[in-house]
Amino acid sequence: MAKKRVLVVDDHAPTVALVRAILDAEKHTQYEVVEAATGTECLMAVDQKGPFDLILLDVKLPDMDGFSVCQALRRVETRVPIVFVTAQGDLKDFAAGREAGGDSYLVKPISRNALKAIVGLLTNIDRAGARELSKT
Amino acid sequence: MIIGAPAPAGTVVVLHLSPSRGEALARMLRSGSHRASVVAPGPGAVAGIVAASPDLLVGPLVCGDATLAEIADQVRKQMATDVPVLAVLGREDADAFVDADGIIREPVDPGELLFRTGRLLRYAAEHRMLRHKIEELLGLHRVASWAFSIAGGAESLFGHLARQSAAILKAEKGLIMLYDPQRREMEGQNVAYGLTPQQVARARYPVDGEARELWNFRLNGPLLTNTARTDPRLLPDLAAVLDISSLIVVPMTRGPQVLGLILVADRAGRAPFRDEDLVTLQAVAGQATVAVENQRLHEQIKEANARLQEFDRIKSEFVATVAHDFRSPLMSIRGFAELTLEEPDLPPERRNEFMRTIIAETDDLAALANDTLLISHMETGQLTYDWKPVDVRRELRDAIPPGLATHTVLLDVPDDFPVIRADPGRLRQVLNNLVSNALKYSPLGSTVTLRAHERGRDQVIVEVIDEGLGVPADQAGRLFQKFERVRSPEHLKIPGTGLGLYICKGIVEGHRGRIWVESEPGQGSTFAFTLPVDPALQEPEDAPGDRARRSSTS
Repeated sequence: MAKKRVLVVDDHAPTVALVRAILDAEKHTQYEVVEAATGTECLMAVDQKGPFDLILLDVKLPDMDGFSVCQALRRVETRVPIVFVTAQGDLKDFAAGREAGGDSYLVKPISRNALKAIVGLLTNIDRAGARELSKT
Repeated sequence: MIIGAPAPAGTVVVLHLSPSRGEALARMLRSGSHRASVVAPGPGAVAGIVAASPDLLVGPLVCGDATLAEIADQVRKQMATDVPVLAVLGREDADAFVDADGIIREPVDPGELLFRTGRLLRYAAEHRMLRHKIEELLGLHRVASWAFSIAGGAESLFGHLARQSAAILKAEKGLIMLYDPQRREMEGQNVAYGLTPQQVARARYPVDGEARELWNFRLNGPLLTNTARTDPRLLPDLAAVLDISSLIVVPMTRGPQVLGLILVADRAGRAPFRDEDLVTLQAVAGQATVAVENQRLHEQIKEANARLQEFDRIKSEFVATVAHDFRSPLMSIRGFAELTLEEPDLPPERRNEFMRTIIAETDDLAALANDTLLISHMETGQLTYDWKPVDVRRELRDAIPPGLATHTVLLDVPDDFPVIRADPGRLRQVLNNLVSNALKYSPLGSTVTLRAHERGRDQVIVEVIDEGLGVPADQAGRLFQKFERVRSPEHLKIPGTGLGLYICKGIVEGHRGRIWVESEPGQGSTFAFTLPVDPALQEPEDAPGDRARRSSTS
């Protein structure tokens, strides 16, 4: 099976390292983790290193907020699942996350199981099927 | 002959069908130094009487077609004052119904006539005085009833006070002036009465200088003048600006403090102001002071409330940001601990790496907790300093991380550098912050210089000079505010909370010093701060407390 490509966008390096470690420890699926520390880097990564099967997007980035990053992403990349990673305080903004084109969210601190579940679920969506679904 | 007490002289009109008998009465009145004239009853009688503007009307009960009472009624209506009437009763009037203020029987005795005339004039004068007082009291009541009403705001209050003050004294213009302690000026307040906004805008004068030499409400109290344009006591401009010829000014005072003035000018019909008007206006000023004070307190409470809300907003924002900053390290600590626990087959080097991350993240968390607490103390003024002699050279040396291999650090402190008084622990926080920033934002292998030198006799300057990314000039000031970092992609890639420099600024200013950055992007930066050799002997530089408050609210 091909590797699933996950873009992790967070300026907190240990968080990125943790996501990588958790996904590395998965036995059934192989993941390739690409990192971006800022919104700008995220957009560049999508442009230059894509396509990705999933984007984990921190809401609070040093240069811009995750929602604007998501909006910008959706202009070029409409299908990739985007999961916001938020601190609890940002939860009230989740409506804004949906509005911006996000698919789901995780609240920090993320538990290993929650991360595994959501990454596993969203990276296994059949792309063609999703396309069909979006037409109806 | 009756001899009465000296009576006030007045203007008397005698109304009589017989010119000769009327004139006889008038002569008697003139002998008592009254101004007396005779008017014949008939169509033009009322107009003639009103033209003479009498203080008293004398005549028989029936004057031609009309009774004396009917004529008097018309006169009173037209003059809008209560002119008293003295009825002259003939023998035929013995049983007549008398509607008058006084009577005298024919034949008229001159002494009795003057006695009764004097009594009526005195009563009339007292009556007028009472009416005047009642009007004043009603006016005061109207002012006072506003004193506790702040609903309309300052403008409507000043407008009301100006209008009421003028109304009580039947004047055409009224103006409230307030003292502005910052500018040391008396300033006319909108809305005034009978004055244009342009005139009010120009109605201001400094309380120092020339104004002190001339009429000064602090020294000379209230002022009344009916020749405002030429009165040497007044500032020459003021009367011209307001286009007034007569005025009364009284201060509004609270204890020894003068809050402002009430100025009333130009009585209707150009009648002069009298001393009793001054007393009246002083009474108004007493009420107005309460009103103005109330208004001011209300404004202050409103401002304080807005400030509190702003503080509250800033606090919530701070809490939200800090909560977020706490969650990230918590998350990696929890996650790596979970992984280590659940994956028994992890290679030892991976396990060690996870453990090292957990420790580093715990340290970060502890530092963040310390910073948060420190800032909370700083902002609530609870930060205390433990003043001790400090060897700056040693502190600078200790600020270099032990075993540092990534950068070259130079120490440049003269041998005779003085021992200063400072809080060594807090100074260490500042130096550690600046040094770690210098290392963080400059390339591997570059040089960081720690320099200290004296400035004058009572100050030292400490500089941390790097060859790193630098700070754009337009961001130099913002950088010392809470959560602010240099907004460039290169800077933002490097983790940071944006709290370090804010704390440095707080501590340096707590030492009565100043902190700033000099930099050119790409050429490195110099973060410099001054410290007094002894803070106890040092005047604060540019009110550090204020600046700390300002930056924390911005």
